[in-house]
Amino acid sequence: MKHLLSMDDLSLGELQHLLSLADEMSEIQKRAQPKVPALRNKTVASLFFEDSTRTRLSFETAAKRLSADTMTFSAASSSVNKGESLRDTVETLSAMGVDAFVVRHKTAGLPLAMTQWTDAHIVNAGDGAHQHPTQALLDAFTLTRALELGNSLAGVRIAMVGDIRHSRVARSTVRAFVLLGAKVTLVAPASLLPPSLIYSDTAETRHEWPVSTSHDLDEVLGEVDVVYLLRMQHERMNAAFISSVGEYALHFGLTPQRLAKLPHSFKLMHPGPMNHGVEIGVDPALVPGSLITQQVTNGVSVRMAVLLSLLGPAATSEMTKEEKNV
Amino acid sequence: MSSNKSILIIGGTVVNVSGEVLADVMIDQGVVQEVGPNISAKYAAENEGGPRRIDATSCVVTSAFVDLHTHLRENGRVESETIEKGSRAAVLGGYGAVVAMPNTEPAQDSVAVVEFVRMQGERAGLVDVVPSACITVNRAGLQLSPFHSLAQNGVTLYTDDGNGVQDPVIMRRAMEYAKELNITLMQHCEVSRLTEGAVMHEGCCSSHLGLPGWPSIAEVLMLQRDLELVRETGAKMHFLHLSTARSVELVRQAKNEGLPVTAEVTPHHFSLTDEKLSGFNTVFKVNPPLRTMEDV
Repeated sequence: MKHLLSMDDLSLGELQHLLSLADEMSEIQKRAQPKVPALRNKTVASLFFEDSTRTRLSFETAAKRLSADTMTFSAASSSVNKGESLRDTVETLSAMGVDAFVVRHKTAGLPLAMTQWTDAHIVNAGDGAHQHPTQALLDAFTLTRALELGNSLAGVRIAMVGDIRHSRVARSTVRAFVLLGAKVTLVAPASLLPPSLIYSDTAETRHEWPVSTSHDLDEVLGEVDVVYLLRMQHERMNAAFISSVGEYALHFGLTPQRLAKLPHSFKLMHPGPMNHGVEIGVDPALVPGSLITQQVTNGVSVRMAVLLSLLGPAATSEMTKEEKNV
Repeated sequence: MSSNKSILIIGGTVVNVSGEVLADVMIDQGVVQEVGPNISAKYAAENEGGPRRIDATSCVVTSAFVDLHTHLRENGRVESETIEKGSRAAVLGGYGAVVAMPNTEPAQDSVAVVEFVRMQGERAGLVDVVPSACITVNRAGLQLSPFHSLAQNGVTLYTDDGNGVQDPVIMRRAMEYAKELNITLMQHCEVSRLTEGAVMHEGCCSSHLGLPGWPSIAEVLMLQRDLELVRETGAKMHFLHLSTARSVELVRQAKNEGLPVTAEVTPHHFSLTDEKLSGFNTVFKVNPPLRTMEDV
């Protein structure tokens, strides 16, 4: 694996390999000194052209725990403001000696384009509404480990609720869940589902979206093991996707009443950042099955696994005993 | 183009309405006098005062093409094209006349600008450069162009080019003028509210890539509106670069009903699909977008 651009590029075997590698990384993180020299003398540059808290810091933490040097690029204070093209920026940074770029940009497909501009490894940390593969990996890791199912989600029933249409998380995570054998139901008003599911429900569409859909959250809640909430952006009502945030919350938000109807064993997930009172009307800290904090913790382990398998010794091979220890 | 000297084109494959045939063509005073196999024997050799001879062996000989839709970019974007360069390309490709689309800066919405384009075309002297004019001032969709003045100066084609006329009132008034002046309006059919931010056809591929989609209905809705307005006003209308199967069906139906409409479809729209964009290759990002297998 040279790059991690899209979940579509990963086979089931590769996905499972990364999940197992993340177990080892998770074990390292629990140590008193959570740091190994595996990526010493490697440089990881993060290029975030969009705001981010968890993903950027999570990648940087992951790189540091593997002893890589890190470079942080902030678009707001860079030559991008002087009109430098993206390609020139990437080539300039490459010339300083970068082994991997972690990139987030509002333009779908940018990470793929970058592979033409540099020899470095590219990790997609979110491109428009297209893909966010490390989110999918951390979601798959979190859920499989919470349910103690090994590297499988066979038969697990998952409702993904919210703005699927504009969500790169949905496009990545659904793929990971389905690959691992889960049964996914997308729950949203029709306006927030991908247009192909509404207007051209063909075999081709079904191949891209091997899921069922529903517009009735209450009906679905009785039949699922996991509820995965997506962030509902306030701006969505401007283009008439929803009537109002209140109307959305009423029908698609996780309210105390809906929580009461869920079995005690259910799991709650959210990629963050959360809009309290919109998609989530309960305090997740008081939901016993909430995996939201674990998703963040596991994000670091999974990103360590990704960086290691791209940049590590003999890339993808298991770490040697020496490297596992400080 | 006319020439006082007569010309004999020998040995080419002549293509015209009746098909193709291996033949010679005799032109005198800029007019085709005779077409037929081996007629060259009837004429004196070039150095004996006969017509100028052009060997067209293995060439196609046909009347010059007309391009209804060229962007000559003069003025405004002369770094990408000029009327002179565009004329050279046209004549090399076998075109005798090109229609200059009005999305220049300033836009072709006044007699002065239209005359400038025509004059530059004459200066280049290679093909007939036929300026079109805008339907609305600066193609902004708000105020009608000076149709009477433009028509008096010989402009017969009007379009806001990439900006379909959104306002039905403006469009209805423009058609009233078009009928009165016997001019033709050309529409780029796109309801812009339905394509905000759109970069490709709305469908399976855009859903997968997470890219904002350009639904077929954005074209079809404006086409339907305009067909009804044509039915009401009787104005002549040409629909630019249609991209959906439904659009073609609607135009066919309208023609069968006798409405004065015509349309065009580009080669890429009837031979390529949105699947070409699955690797984010922007070479295939066109306006209107490539559609689906059902449309090609």
